[in-house]
Amino acid sequence: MSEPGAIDQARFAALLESVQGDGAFLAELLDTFLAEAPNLLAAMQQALARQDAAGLRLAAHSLKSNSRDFGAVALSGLCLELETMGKAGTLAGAAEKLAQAEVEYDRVRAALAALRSAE
Amino acid sequence: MTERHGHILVVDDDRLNRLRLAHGLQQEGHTSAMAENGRQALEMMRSQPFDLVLLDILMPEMDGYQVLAEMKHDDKLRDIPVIVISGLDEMASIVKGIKLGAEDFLPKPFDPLLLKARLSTCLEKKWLRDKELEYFKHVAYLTYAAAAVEAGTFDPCSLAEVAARTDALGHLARVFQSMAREVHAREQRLKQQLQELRIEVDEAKKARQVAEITETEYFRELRQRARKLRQAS
Repeated sequence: MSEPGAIDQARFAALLESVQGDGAFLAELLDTFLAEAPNLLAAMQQALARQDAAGLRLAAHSLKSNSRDFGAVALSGLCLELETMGKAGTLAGAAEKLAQAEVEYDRVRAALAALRSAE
Repeated sequence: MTERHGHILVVDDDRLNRLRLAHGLQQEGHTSAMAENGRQALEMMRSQPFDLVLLDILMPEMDGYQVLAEMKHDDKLRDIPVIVISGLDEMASIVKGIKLGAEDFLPKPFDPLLLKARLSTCLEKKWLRDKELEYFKHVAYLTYAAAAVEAGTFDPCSLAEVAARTDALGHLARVFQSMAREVHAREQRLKQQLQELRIEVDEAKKARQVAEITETEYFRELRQRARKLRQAS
């Protein structure tokens, strides 16, 4: 069972449908997401440490769309907020938001790992 | 409408997006190549032909706008159709991309049916545009051929590509080629006849020159002296 709230099941089903039910390919996508997401979170941390708004925007943008595709709606929303901060160049509050995103990612990872083993 | 397949360049810094697009393209019978940023994309476009480019906007190093701007300044790349990839919440990016010359846009997350429809339309347009460009090029070949006939430098092989067409332009090229060959052959025959006439004229001229010398008083005297010398010895 996936953790409630971490993954929107309807969106996840839509993703499976968009790959024409190809379970092996979906598993490859899942593995790629789980491998890439920590890198993107780390890139956001590094960008924040450098006060690099453009870098924050870029990494948040990628994680926003990837997490949305997998149905990780809350994580996608947090990334959208970080992307918006990066775009505006105002990084006040970004560290707290990023910390929330990291916690949310842990929930997403657990939920997706459960879905992956159920496939 | 005939289903057209193409070789497509996917430009996206996000590995998941590249994987999904490559999978979608393969499902529809297209071949694809991947670039992770704008600079790499331009290098690939300059080293191999592509029928279409799927281009992300927000990328490190060189973004999608810069790629579009460079493509439009490059004669070899400007006619490759580009579909920009963008979220529907980024309408300003889509509009800017289209203003910079993109044909269309593909919203994220990707919908396979929409991807198929967008590709089909763009590839059909490109196919028609390529045909049109080829037609104009062949018309230009015929025009050059006409000028070459007038200048006497026509080479029938120069129309081989146009003559291979199966349409009216191909027919015109074949007729032109055949007539030009006949004219060329006639010219060659006339040149040959002219050459033969020149030889005859030259021989008659030489005979006249010999006669002019041998019929002089001085030549006759020389001949008599020579005869006497032969008798004396």
